[in-house]
Amino acid sequence: MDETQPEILLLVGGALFQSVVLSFAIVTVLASGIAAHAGVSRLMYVMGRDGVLPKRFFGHISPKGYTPSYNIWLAGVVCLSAGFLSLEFVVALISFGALTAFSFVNLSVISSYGFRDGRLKRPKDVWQFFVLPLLGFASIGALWLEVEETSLKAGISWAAVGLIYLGWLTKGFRRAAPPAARRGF
Amino acid sequence: MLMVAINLRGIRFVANFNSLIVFLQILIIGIFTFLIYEKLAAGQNALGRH
Repeated sequence: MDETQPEILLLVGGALFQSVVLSFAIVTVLASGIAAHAGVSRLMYVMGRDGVLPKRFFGHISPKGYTPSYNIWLAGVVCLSAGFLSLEFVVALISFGALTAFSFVNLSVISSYGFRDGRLKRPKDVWQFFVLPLLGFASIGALWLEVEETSLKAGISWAAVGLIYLGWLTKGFRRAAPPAARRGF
Repeated sequence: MLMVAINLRGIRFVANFNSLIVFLQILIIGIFTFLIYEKLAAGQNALGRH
């Protein structure tokens, strides 16, 4: 929270209001964490269900609450490790991950809708499935130029781990990854 | 661990819980905005003087 905000809160609402809002700021962080936790556990579940990650663990659904309970616990344990990592390192990983994801989302639109489905015939479709995602990719490219060295090092290391795993999964990139293989790509 | 416990209750519970927090956030923003308006309308400045 900005340093000026507690001062303003105290000025306009008194000490009690300041305490309530500041306490609630912490609860808000919790809500944000819960949403991210829900998302990541289900993303891992989908990867487990599709066979990208070991199915027995990551594809497990609890019969009691119909939740991917193993993934929820795993994400919880990884969250605890945040206490031992520096904020700079965590931010670096998040920046790299977010920029990579957004870059590939834009490229995927061009690849999937534009080229694979051949939807570049009408001007509206060219705008939607080529120009807009290309502009999106270019604007993210501008952000890539601002990424710190720590982010690049940490992100590339983590991406290398993923690439090695993908290489192992696809028998040295000779087979398609599981979900694509099932769709016949 | 609180996040784990809430998530294990299911996605509907998570959605309801977060909706409640968002509602309370909006409520606090509303109160905060009202208080700011009230103080400014009363002529209070950044140093707290009228």
